[in-house]
Amino acid sequence: MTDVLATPFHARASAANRFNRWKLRNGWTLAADYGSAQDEAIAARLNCAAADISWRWRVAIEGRRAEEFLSRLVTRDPARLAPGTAFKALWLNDHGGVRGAGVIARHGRESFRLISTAADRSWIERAGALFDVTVRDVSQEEGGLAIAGPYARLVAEAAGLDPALEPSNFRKIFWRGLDVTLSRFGEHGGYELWCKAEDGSIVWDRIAKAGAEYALRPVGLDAMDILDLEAGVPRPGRDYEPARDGFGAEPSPFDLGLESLIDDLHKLFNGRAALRGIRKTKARVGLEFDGETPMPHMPLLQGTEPVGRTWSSLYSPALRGAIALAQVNLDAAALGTELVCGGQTARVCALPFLPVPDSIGE
Amino acid sequence: MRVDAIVIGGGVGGLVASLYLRRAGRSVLLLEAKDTPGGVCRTIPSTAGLNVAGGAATLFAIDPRMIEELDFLNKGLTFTVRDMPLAISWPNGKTLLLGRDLHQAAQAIAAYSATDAQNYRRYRQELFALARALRPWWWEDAPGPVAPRNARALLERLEATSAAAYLNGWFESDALKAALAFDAVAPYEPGSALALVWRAAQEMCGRQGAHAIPKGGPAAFAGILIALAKASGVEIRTGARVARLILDGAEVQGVELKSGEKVLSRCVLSSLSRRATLLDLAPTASAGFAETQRLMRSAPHTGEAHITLVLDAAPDLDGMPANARAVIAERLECWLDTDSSARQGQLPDELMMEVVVPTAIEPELGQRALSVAVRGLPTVPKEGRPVSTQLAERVVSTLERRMRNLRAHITGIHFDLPTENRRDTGFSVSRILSSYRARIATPLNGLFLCGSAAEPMDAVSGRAGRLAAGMAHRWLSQRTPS
Repeated sequence: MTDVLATPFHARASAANRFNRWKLRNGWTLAADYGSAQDEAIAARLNCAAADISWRWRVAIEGRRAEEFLSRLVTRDPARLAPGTAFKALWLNDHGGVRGAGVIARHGRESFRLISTAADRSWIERAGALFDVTVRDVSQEEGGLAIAGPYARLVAEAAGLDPALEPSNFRKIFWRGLDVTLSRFGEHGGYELWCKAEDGSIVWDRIAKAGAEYALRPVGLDAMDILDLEAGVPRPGRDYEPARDGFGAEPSPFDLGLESLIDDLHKLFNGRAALRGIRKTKARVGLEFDGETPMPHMPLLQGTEPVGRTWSSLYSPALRGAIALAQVNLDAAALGTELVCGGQTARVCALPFLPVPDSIGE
Repeated sequence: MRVDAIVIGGGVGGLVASLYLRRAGRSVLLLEAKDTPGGVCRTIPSTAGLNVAGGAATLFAIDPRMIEELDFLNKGLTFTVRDMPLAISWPNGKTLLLGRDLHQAAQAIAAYSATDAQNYRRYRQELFALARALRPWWWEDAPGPVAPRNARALLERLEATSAAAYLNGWFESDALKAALAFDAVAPYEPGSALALVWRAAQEMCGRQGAHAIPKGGPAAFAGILIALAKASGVEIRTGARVARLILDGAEVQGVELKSGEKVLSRCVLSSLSRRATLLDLAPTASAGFAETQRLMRSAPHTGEAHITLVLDAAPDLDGMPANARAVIAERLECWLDTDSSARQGQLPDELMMEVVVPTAIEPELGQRALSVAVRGLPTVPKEGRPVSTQLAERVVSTLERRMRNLRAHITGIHFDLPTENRRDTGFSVSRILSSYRARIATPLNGLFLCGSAAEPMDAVSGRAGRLAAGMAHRWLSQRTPS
């Protein structure tokens, strides 16, 4: 049994967690909710919310050949990244199976960060060794706090952080005595604030103070998962089983609907040659249900014909109904197609389920 | 400069590949790092001013289809020895001769063991029948395992059977088992029984499982190939060592030589091992992360050395007929020691060797020599200490037990030591069971293997060269549908 880790914000989170509801993710203990996950999800969509995202796996990739290594590792070319910018990309195994997805951020000429919701330590460490690149896990050295919602920009401004930042960009800031990094990597808008582990409580307090005027509230893991699913992004481990061995070809990026993360102009990365021979056979779609929230990973039928499976599913308080991500055959992927899932009808709908809320003050 | 195909390495595989590609109308540049092409079949000027064979002394796996298609027999290829018997030196000092005649062989064995004599006949028949059944699969690029129905049960058993276990099941005499196990390369590896079958599936001079020596030695055979290649318009450049492959994405675009010169081509065929080609010549990890790590782990720890002893007089063979290949291997268990010693970078206690006397059977070579192949040697000696002097001493003293006064007659020694890069593995069951297509193709587009590494087992054959040329030709045709 591995140790359960406390995030840098744990002291503040446990004070706020009145019902003492916790969840374990990637080895970290995190508040599941601070009262009501549904209320928190609505707040993060209409107001503003702060969520602990220190559970995300982060590695620093450094060395003379770091750019070359990352260029070979991921499906887009980091040579196009200027310091202070980032992109989302996939990394594949030798046969084109998706091993993981994450954000690649360029800190310097020979220094990068990789941020992902699921760790893939041995693959990236061993591959990095081929290029004499150091791959250092920094997940425990830094904490991350997401500031979500339409008022996130105003909260950042009130806290004294210059919020002028393009999406996918980040900036290192000396913030009243603290070294922090402000970024806009997220799929659900807002900002992420990264700080040293020992500064966690100060950062939480400053954000809480600045956000009080905008009714900022802490939100738990469950609310963030609702936002995540509403954004329609599949996550390794939660939605699909990543290709954990070096040679299997499943799941293909096309079948996961992640082909947009592959740069056609990027000619040489691991798995590129194998992708030529892979055809898209399935599509990633959203499903809306009229009734109960179905269990995750349920078979989907069209008539009596099995056409796919659901991934994760939950009740969306903003849509007032059950939603699910699903992977279906291409001929069952048209919008409005009615499928049967566990006895109830589901309709194929467009992704994302809900757009990112407009930022106020921009 | 731009050509259709670049062939790296002028061994038999490389020569055959370039010849076939040229005959298909492609422009071919063959790059050989050494001063002369020919690979293990080339001759080397030795200390005594004589030319000695650089590596292989006999041929046993030449592709008969290539011999026919290139019309070798009308190009001056003749054989002085067509079917060498196997000579086994028995512990009592006597020599046992196993020729093609099963009756005679059984009689010879009967002097030592009546059971073995009986079983030898059945062993040979089973081995040869199975070998014939599996030929389509080892001779051509058959899609998938052919495994004829009647042989499938036996094949499935052999896949997991070591040659040692297989031979133990047939024979009781240790010397017989040890000598027969020599052809299995790594007789304690699971599946190495298949190596015996593969050997038996080869054909020389129309005879199954024969070892032959062409007139003029293997160098003469390579010489014909070189002449044919030159005549057909293959450009051969010697002293041209390739430093790296030039890639555009995952597609090979040419090579860069050590001299810095760049030559562009639309495909590259390499007669180096898969390891050397993908790890040393291609950019880091371009074979794929998992495949690169697998290749790095698969460094062979044992290999084969070719040693040529140049003598000032004909060797005293002590009853061994000159046209035989003599295998010196005391006990089957000695193979276990070779493996563990090699992992520690040391020479084994007992050397496993095959001795051929090229002079005695080939007086026209104008020299006296002993060609010795030693198996189970460490590929990378520990701490870089050269094993050559130690090895020479051990080889000579082992031989002196059979050939008196050998030491006094040696005038020169030539070594061809096992290197990690020439071979992938001594024996690998996955390699012997995969198709030619799988062994020739690489993860990089337009890069093919055409040498010994693409054969089911290391051998001078030319089959991989011929099939690789076919694959490269198809690749080129797809690129330019002209």
